[in-house]
Parts: sequence; C-alpha cells; structure tokens
Amino acid sequence: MTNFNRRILLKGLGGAVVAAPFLSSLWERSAKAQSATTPKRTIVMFTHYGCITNKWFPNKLTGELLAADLTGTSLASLAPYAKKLLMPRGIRTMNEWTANNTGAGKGRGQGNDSHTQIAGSIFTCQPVTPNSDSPFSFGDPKFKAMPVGPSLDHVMAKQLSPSGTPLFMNVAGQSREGAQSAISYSAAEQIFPAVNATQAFNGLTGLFKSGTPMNADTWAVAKGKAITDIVKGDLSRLMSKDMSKVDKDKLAAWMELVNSVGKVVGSAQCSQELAMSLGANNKPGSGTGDALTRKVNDTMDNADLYSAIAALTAACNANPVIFLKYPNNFIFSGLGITADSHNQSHRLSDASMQGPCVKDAVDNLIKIDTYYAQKFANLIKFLDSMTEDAGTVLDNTVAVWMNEMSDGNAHNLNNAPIIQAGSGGGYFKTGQIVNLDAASGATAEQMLGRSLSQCVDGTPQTSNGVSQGTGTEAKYGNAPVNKYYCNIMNAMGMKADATGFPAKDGPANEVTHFGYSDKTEDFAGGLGAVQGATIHSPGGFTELKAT
Amino acid sequence: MHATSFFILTAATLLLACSGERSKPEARQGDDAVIAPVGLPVTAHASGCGALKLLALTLQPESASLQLYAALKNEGDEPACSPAFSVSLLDKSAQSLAMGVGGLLVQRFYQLADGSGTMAACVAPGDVTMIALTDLTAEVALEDVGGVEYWCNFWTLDVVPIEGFSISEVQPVSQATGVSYTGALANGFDTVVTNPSVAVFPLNRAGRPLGMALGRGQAELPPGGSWSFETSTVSEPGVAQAAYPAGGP
Repeated sequence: MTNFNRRILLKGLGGAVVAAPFLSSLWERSAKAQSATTPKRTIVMFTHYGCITNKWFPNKLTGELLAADLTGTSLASLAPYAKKLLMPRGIRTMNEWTANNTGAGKGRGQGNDSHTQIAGSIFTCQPVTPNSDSPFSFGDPKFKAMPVGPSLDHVMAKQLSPSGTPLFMNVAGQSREGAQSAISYSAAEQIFPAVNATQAFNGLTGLFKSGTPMNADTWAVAKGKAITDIVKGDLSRLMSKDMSKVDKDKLAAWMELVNSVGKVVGSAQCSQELAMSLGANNKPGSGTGDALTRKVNDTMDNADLYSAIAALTAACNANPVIFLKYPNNFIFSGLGITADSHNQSHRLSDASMQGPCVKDAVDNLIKIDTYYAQKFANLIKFLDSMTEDAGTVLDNTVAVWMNEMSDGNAHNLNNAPIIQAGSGGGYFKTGQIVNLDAASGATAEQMLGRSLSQCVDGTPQTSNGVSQGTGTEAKYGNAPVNKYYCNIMNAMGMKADATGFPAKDGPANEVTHFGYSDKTEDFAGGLGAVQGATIHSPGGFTELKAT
Repeated sequence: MHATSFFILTAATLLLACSGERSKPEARQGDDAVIAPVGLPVTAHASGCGALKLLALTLQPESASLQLYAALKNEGDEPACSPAFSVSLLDKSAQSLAMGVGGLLVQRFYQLADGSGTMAACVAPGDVTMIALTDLTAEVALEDVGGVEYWCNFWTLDVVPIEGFSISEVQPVSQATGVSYTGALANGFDTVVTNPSVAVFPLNRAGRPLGMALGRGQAELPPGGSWSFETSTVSEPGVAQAAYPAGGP
C-alpha cells in the first residue's frame, strides 16, 4: 500500500469523521454520515463576460425544461440532457458596477472596476478592498481590490475535500491571475493559484494503475474490505492503550462508522481504463489554434480535456469540489474570431469600452456562447457516462455553468445565466425551469434581456457600456445568488454554525447564510459602509428542491 | 484649466538639485533602452491598448519579487478614461506564468457630460501615463520569463475637463539608500481629498521608468489646498523623473 493512497482513503472520509472518536457528538452525526454513503460532488464551470442573453435563455420562465425549449438557443447542445438539467431563473449575483456607484446608498455596488469587483464577489458574496467610490477614477484600488473573505470553492472544500482545498483548474493553463479576473480566494485577499491539466491529472494517477482499479488499499475497500482491517495494525496499537470504557465504546462506534462511510471512498471504476475512456490521460494539444480549441484528438479539444479530468476526479472521489475556470481576455482563433473576448463583449475590437460597433461582434459572441455550451454538454456527457448506484455520476453531482455577468456590455448581474446539470443525489429538481423572482412580474420576453438592442442591424450602431442598455432591466431577476449557494452546500451535506454560516464542525445541519450580504446595494461603499448590511433572506430556495 | 505637465526632463535640473547633498547612487548614464531587460520580447495582446501606445517597459527583480514599470502615450484624439494595464508574464514556451493588472496613472481630470457630476480620470490625447506593478508573484524568477504580453482597457466617455491635481517643484533628494523626491501637490477639485498620494518615476534617457517612489499624506486636503510631499526612496535615480497623483478624490 502507498502512503498517498492511505491518506486519500482516510481523509476522504472527512477529517471530522476521522477525529470522531473524541467528539461527543459522534452518535448524532453518525446517522447523517451513514445515510450519505453515496459521494456527491460540485463541479462549477466559470466563463467571463456574460452572454447574448436573448439567444442564451429559452423563451420560458417556468415549467418543464424540454429539449425543444433549447432549440435555436446557444444552449441547443444541451438538449439531449434536458431531463437532467435545472435552469434557475431570475438570480442576481452580488456587487454590480454601475456609473452611479459613488458610495453608500448610491448604486448597486462598489465603484472599483466593472470586472475586478464582480470577479472578486461572484463566489465570495463579499465586498472587495480597498473600496473605491469613484467608478471612473484611476489607480490601484480600482483594479487590485480583492474580496474580504474566501470563495465558495474554498468554503466547501474546507468541509468536503480530502486536502481541504478545491481542485481549481484554469482551462487555459494560467496559474496566477490578477484581481481583475481571479475568482478563487482561499481567504481574504488571497488569490488561489490554478493548476493545469497535466498537474491535475498527475495528482490522480496515484489512485490507479493500468489494469488494476486504483491501488491495493482502495481496491480492497471497493471490494468490501473494511477500512479498519486495512489499518488494523494502527488500530490495534490504539486499542492496546489504557482507555476508559467510555473511550473504548467511542472508538468501537467510530470504527463502525468509518467502515460504513468508508465505502464511499472506493470507486471501483477509478482506473487507468476509465481515464483512457474519458480521454483524461491525453496530453494537451499543441497544434495551431488557441489554447482552448486546439484538438487533443478527433473528439475532444483542450477544454474538453479539463472536463474529462474533472469527471475522472469526481469518479475517483479524489476531490468533491472542482472549479473549471475559462480564461479572460481570450482570442478564440479556433472559432475564427480574431478579437479579444472582452472587447467583443463590448461589441468592439479595441481597448476602449464604448464606441462604434464592430462588424460581427454579436455573431461572434453567440459563437462563443455556443462553444461554451458545447463544453458544458461534453462535461455532462462525461459525468453521465459513468454508472454509480442506480444512476450515473452525474446524478450525484451538481454541475453548474456560471457566468461572470449577464450581458457583457452592460456588466449587469441581475438575470444571471445559470444552468445546472445533475440533482446532487436527489436534492435538486431536474428537468425544470424555475423562476425564482416571480414577484418582479417580469414576462419571459422581458427576461430574454436586451443584448440585441445595440450593434445589430436596424438598431443603434454605437455600443454604450455605461448606460447598461444591453442588460436586462434592473428591476427584474434579483433573487440573490447566496440562496442558491446555500442550496448547493446543503445538497453536499455541509454543516453550519449556530448562525447558519458554513462551519466544518457544525452544529447545524443546514447552511442558511453565505457571504456579506444578499442585497447588492449593501455592497456600495464597501465593507461596513451600509448600515444593516446582512443576509436579509436566509436559507436556500425551496423552489429548487426536489422535495 | 488643465493640470500642468509633470515631466521633468532635464538631467541638469536633477544634478543641480542634488549638488551638495549626500552622496547618491550613480545613475545608469548612457541607458537608452526602452525595454529592460534588453532583448525581452514585449508584445501586445490582440486586444492591444487601442490609442495607448507602449513607450517603454522595465521588468526587474526588486524586494524579492518581480516588479514592472511601463510608460504609455495616448496617441488618439480622445481621452482614455479610468485606464487599466494588464500583463501576462510568459515562460519560454509562451505559457502564462503570472498575470498582473493595475490602474494607469493620469494627470487630467474630467466630469461626465451627462450632468451627473461624476468625475473621470483620463489620459488626455498626447499625455504620457505610467504604471508600477509591484505585486507580481514572488515565485517567478526573471530568468524564467521568456516574454511579456500586455493589454489595456479604458472608457471612451463624453467628458468635459475640470480642475484636478497639479504637482510642482519636484526635486530629487539624495538619501543614504537612494533618492527621494520632494514637491507640492495642489488640490484643484472642489472637494476635500483625503490622504493624498503622489507617485514619482525616475526615468532613463529614453523615458523608461526605472522604479517608483511613493509619497503618502495623512491629512485632508481642502479645495485649493496644497500638500508638500516627500516620497520613499528609489535606488536608481535615472536622469529625469515624472510625477503623478496616485489617488483620486
């Protein structure tokens, strides 16, 4: 047996479980742990610069999500998986930048930068520091500001991951990003570096060998051998210590618990063969084209390689928190686009963020959206190709595609384009579109947004990023993303402290609070500027839950 | 009225100001390089910088990390507002080692023409702007960098010029560890400025920034008020310097 595998094996149970014999709450927790023997994972795919909302969203706000609803949209490639999809509509992410963000009580967020504060806040729901109240000012605070708390991936990984950290991959292989595009924060103002495909795959290969699923330890567990038998020597030495009866009882209970929960660690299909069938063992393509669309083989490109590694990581239970970040300022030359993706999001071809529209910008953006959707579809395909229990790995996963913003030119954060696949082991509804802000009274037509209101034939030929004219009207689609994050964490079985914030040691079994505030106006002026900034609507969305 | 230009271009002024002072580090006389290290490939990302043209760039190890200084000029016809400058440090195989972003420093100030009173800081046509990226990763060594790729973002806005900051009387002062700068910053805004700051870049003969010295005030500067500053030191004094306000109201 290898040390590496034993570490994975035992840590895979969760640090709290390993430490359980010495916790008085052992028996209360064991019931929950024993019922959660099927592993669950969260995989988030993140892309920059929003989308052409009119083509991204189906013209439907609520009800069954049918394959036909996706016909003609950028999401058409997801149609085969319609029954396993969930589209939460009407969500707002936090800390929007507008030209009116000039301090507490003014605007919908901080006045730093239209990307820096959004990227910093999207998964943290925290304001960034240092604050700027001058949206068109200059200097470092605008562009170097970072959130005052950790991001969702780290909050989750702290409870769920063997290493305590997420698997964070940058699909373009960029390791260290600046604050204007970084999304993963291990702590306040601490940007977490990404790994590339090779690094991520190498981190998995200790789990399997060609021809033999995993190594001897993990294989033994998969075949039903008790973990306590595998670590029998260590336990014998522990049991031989002079212990009170109470402690011996606790240890015995712990051993039973470990063996029960431990069966989730071993995945019989975690093998070299699985890696090969997914294509995760391939080397990144190095031919012509861009870093995403370069072909790895006839059926996958570099971006798919990352998805395959994510799927393999999930199947091997190596890390249940996986974030796939697509690059900023990217040139999709493989799609025949020669302009930078940020400039294109402003319907321009240069660095200025306002001016005469450039030809084909909207068509190019739809092309990019369609490409991303295909990548998400391929990720779903990988996950759904692996059986697990009575279903597939996808069924026990929450796979989500999140975007930095809604419309890239408007930088608006309401009406967020979010699509989920998998129910997280039955927690979420699937095959549904759910309108989470029905109270706003928006129609399906209004919730298609206004991305086509500029730079399309017959409309003004000047792109105006300041007016937010291409964004969905601000009064629509404002259900806070914090609640959705609570849903995801609860689907994964995370614990919370007495106030409902995520906490590794509980005692609460439901996360109801996440972030600084769930009202974007509370972010104006930065940390502490708005009196009463808080979570105004605790808990997840009940509308998204299966039961 | 526009703020005055802050380029102090004569080496004679610098040398005169330093005469009789404590000894100062020797400037790199004869350094005309616009890119340092010489030969370092510096290329614009496809998005480029629009009207902002890169004039010079320095990448050097300093304080246990790599630091980057750059100068750009607005060669367009319109102000480039709230400008940002981004870089990616590439390895020898053009893979990204690290990325950095920061705000370009400006000398002109405007208001949106929509009547909102919103202030905008912009690089005026013909003006030179500078930046110091001092927080690039400490885990990348200069010898591992095979090139630098850069790009910019800025707003092209409908703006009208307003009074802003003006910096005057910038003088180098020789110190034991290098050179600091003294001068005065005047607040032309109609609002109080809290904790004003100034960035001074020593330049080589080609106008390439060699480092950056910062002066930070702890006071409130009322409209019409002036603040006499003294900056931190830089080890490489160059042959001239350029000064910018380093924070807005």
